[in-house]
Amino acid sequence: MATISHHDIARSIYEGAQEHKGNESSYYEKVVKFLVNRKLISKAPEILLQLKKIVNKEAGVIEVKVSTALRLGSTERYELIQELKKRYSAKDVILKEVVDEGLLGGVRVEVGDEVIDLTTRGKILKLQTYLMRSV
Amino acid sequence: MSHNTIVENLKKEIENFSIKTQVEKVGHVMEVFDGIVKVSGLGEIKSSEMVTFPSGEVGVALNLEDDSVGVIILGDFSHIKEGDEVKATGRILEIPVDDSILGRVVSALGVPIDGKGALKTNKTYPIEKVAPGVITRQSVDEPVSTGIKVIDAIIPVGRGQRELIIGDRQTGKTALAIDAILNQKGQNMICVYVSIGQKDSKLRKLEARLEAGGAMAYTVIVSAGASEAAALSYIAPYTGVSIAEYFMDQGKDVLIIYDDLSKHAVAYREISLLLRRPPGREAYPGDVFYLHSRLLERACRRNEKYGGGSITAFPIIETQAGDISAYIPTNVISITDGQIFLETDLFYKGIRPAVNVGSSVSRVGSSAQIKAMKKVAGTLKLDLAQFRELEAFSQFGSDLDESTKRQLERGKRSVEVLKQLQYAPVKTEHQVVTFYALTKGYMDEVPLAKIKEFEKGLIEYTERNAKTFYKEVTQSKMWTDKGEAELKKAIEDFKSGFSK
Repeated sequence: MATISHHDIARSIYEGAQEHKGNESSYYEKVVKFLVNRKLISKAPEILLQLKKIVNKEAGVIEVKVSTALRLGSTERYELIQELKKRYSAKDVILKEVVDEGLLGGVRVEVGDEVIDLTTRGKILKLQTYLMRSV
Repeated sequence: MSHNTIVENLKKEIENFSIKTQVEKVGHVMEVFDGIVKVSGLGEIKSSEMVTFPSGEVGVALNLEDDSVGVIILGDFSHIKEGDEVKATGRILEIPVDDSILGRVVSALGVPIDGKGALKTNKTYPIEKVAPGVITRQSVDEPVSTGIKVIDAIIPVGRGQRELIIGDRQTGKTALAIDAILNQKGQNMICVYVSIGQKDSKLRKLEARLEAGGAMAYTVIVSAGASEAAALSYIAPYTGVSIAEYFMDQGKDVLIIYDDLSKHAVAYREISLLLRRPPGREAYPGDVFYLHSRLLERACRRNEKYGGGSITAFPIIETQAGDISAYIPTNVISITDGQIFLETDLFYKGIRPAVNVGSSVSRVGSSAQIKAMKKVAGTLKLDLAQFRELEAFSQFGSDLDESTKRQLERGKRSVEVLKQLQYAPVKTEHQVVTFYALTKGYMDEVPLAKIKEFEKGLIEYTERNAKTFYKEVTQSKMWTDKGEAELKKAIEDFKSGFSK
């Protein structure tokens, strides 16, 4: 394809920033000029999203979305973070907590494109598909 | 069933249920358009992997890109919204298979659509499979008896062969295929008819016809209708061949008809263009050859050591104004082991089936004929070839010598004998008798208009008066001098009675 993917643009911006350590401000000016010249400035949110992913990956940080029916307690949160750090061998964990009463109970953890569903609703849905399966 | 038993059953089912906690790979819908979904995430998805949508629809991942996955939706895409969660299944698309599928009409996903209830089976077959390798194969030498005189005599098809049926619209391509299915009764053959992008009314008519002919007992129809998504048209032939493979794996012989592969290529072109794959000649994508070659390569004859069985394929291609040098026709001609070429001109001249004997060919040839048929058909082929040459040439002059005249008359009678009504397949032994009488010159004095009548009478008469000949041909596939003498006498007797 003729166009360059957002991921590739983000990647090169990141690598450029590594090389220009010290005079970042002039470098970022150049980046913005480049994006404007190439008519990519409207795509900036997507590129930033990719850039964030790259930066997080390089720094060993993972973003985790945790959905629960009730607000997490501090010990639960601490244990969850420790467990996630071990599982994904990450240095740091950014937790994004969502409270959703519809989950009924348990916890649902989303890391990137991986989902670990331990909620009561998930279990009920699984039971539903099991009972409605065609034999 | 009383309420208590329902509750008891439910309890039992729930007790059997166990939840396995596992990490699921999910993605989210970024864009939906024209049956295509762009999905973010789905990190470790494989090509052709099945994915599921929250509304229950199934999709197949076709394009794996840097930051997104292109998925085709097999079914209705109107319920899919941006942001929907897409789950990877880790499996290649598969269809349910069972012996009870015989006589059913199923969709491209193998789900019955004939209102006769669900298939009760746990067995599934993946729709994409690598074709059997070279050591498992055997050369084709057993005939498929199509019951169509011109095919069985001149373009014989063997079990495991791939014979293309090609021609313009309304030249009788489907009719030929249906006749072939109808004639498989009692021939130990299972038939799969794959309808790709056809009108539902046509399919309904066809099913009724097969039902009336008692052919549905050994036939499966796979249908991806014109109103359904292009993605379903794309997978339908693979579904059909997977069903065929299920029966072949039981050592059975299967006949599969793809009606038609031009629409299949068009459906694939639509999908490819929507997925932004670069277009090539006639806007078809670069892998359109592989699309058909990997499908038709799955037709084969397996040797006994690897379980036997065979799949004979009749792909159908529709040409535009007789142009067989377009992209898809040339592709499929080069993949198959021969083609049956149907022509509009012949059709309107009243030569039906409108097979152009000159451009039709079977690369397996006479090794797929019984010995008796080989003997009579050899002379017939020669007669017809000479006739075609003389026919063009004789239009200029009226002064023709005796032998030329005789050849012309013989040729006209050959053409007349090869005409055949739709839904009227002819048994092999009857064909042998007819061609015997024709090539030995017994029909030369019969007026052209009375050939059909003569043929019909001859079969009835010889069946009664040349029993030895029939017995020899059906049992040992060749006649002896004794049988031949008997047949000769019967033909002469009938002829003298007929001319009075």
